Amino acid sequence: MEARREVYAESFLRKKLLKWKLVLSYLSIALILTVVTSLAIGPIYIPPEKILKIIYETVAGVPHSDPKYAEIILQIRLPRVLMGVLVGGILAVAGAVMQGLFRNPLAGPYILGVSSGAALGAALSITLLPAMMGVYTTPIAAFIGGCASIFLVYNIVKLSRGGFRSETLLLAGISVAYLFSAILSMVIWLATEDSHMILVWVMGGLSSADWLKVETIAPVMLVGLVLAYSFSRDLNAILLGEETAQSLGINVQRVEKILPIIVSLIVSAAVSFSGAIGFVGLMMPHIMRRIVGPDHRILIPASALAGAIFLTAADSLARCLLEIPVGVITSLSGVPFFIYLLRRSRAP
Amino acid sequence: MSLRARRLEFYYAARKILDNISFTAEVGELIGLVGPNGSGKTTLLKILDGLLKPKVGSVYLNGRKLQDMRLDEIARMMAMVPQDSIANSEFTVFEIVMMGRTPHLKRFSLEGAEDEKKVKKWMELTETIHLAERRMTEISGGERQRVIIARALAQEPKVLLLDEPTANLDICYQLQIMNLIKDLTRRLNLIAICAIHDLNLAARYCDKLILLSEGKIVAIGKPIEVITAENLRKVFKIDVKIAYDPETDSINIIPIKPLKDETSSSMEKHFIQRPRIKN
Repeated sequence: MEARREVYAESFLRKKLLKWKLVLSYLSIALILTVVTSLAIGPIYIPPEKILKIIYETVAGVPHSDPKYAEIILQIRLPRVLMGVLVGGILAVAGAVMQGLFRNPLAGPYILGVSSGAALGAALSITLLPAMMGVYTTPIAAFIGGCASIFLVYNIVKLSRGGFRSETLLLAGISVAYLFSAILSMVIWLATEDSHMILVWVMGGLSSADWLKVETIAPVMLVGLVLAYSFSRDLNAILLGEETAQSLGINVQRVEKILPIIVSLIVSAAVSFSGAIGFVGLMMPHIMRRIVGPDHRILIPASALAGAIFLTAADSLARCLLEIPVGVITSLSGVPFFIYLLRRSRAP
Repeated sequence: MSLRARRLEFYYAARKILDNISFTAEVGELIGLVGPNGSGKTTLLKILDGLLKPKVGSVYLNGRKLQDMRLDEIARMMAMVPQDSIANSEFTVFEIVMMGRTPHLKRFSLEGAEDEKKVKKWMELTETIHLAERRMTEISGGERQRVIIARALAQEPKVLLLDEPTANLDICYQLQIMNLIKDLTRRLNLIAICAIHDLNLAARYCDKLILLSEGKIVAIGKPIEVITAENLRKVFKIDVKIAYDPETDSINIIPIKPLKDETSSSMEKHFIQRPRIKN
């Protein structure tokens, strides 16, 4: 009996926290390595020590010893890489939250039809209002499209007889996505001249990244992370079933109503700059769940880092492969992932 | 602490599920809800826990109307052991029990050493501490039920609600779980309300029984007053013999036959058409 007591004297909490810290440090290191590699490669190879020197000189305010390389790194590669980090992080966090909330392994950031709405908005702006508000017409139109889909989904759910249920939300999301995709196909079919541009947007890419876009999306990302994280305990309880969560004191109805809106708005903002990049938000949370377990308090930050790493790496690959849209690469890597999911017997 | 139900009425769509339910629960008392399938036991438990709102009447917890309380307030005083706890969870046993601390924690704060101490205490009491790092998928049904009870206790409730805690368990686990519930009720001075199918277990372990039929209370009182041949004939439509067993100091129900034997009568009708096979 005495011996048994001793075993349980160890702190499970401390052990858990230690594991969390380890995972986050490894992922952070991996992210830094990915970012540096990604900055190094391109048409001109810039060695990592030069990159670090350029960044140091910028931060310290010293004039650049190599202005040509500094120009490439600071004006071209860095904003694009940061964009990949931010968008990848947002998509993965959104996926983790949606999968937890709907208790559905196939849920992802675009569950409320945000991607189709944004694509339609972008397509319409490309065909109808070329350069009316300068370069940013398309992102604004895409954001409006994404919001329109959220609005539509919630109004369909309101019409349903059974009252608010997350299953209804899923179905409404799918139907709105189909609706917008159908209209999008028609727009592409009608707009023969712009159809290539629309397609490139739909596939998703980071090639249009610049500092202004990074500065716009960075606060969105931060707010999104904090908000998602603040719901992590609620999400844990909801994994045990809605009624159990409720008897643990969680207002499940409210979480189920509010959280998808918040997350979809953030996703909408991300997507409006990058196009609907697929599979990052679906895959990264699954992979992280295998490593860190189902607790959302670690799953959300770990997914953010993993999404950032994955999208940055995929985008470097896209740049090397003659600028094919990064969405194609992420989607292609999704196929083996789905086979892996099918082989797995357990639900999340 | 007191729990009082006053004239509860509940409907699913137009169907009346509960009708005029009133009772008071005392501290240290294990109350059993018995009755046939669909008599409203689970619905009543959910109303008592604030998960469903009654159409008429209210539940009073310590004199306060349940409808006026926030869910987390209720969760600090009342815990539920549901019937269908999700079993395929990847959480470890320790994490599951720790979730019982949820109503006591602020949104951004992590669980602390104090919470861990409490959780370990309840895990020792329910004999689940040796399972702490196992996943919920890796333990047996009886162990899982004890873990869920430990989680409920980690909420530090004054009222413990249990929905068929012995369903799907073998007879040894059934006795263990009922002993545990009875013990906890006494020692922690809880109000425990337990929906239970098995009349023998109910009669043996509960201090008071509420017999429900079609959403109404048919009888309420000590097991020996509620479990009578007459009541069971009325509610369950069965003929029973009730025997007192001095060793367990409780009554035993021996079912004899259903009042209206539909299968045998329809079988007779079926076979009467055919000539009997004679040898």
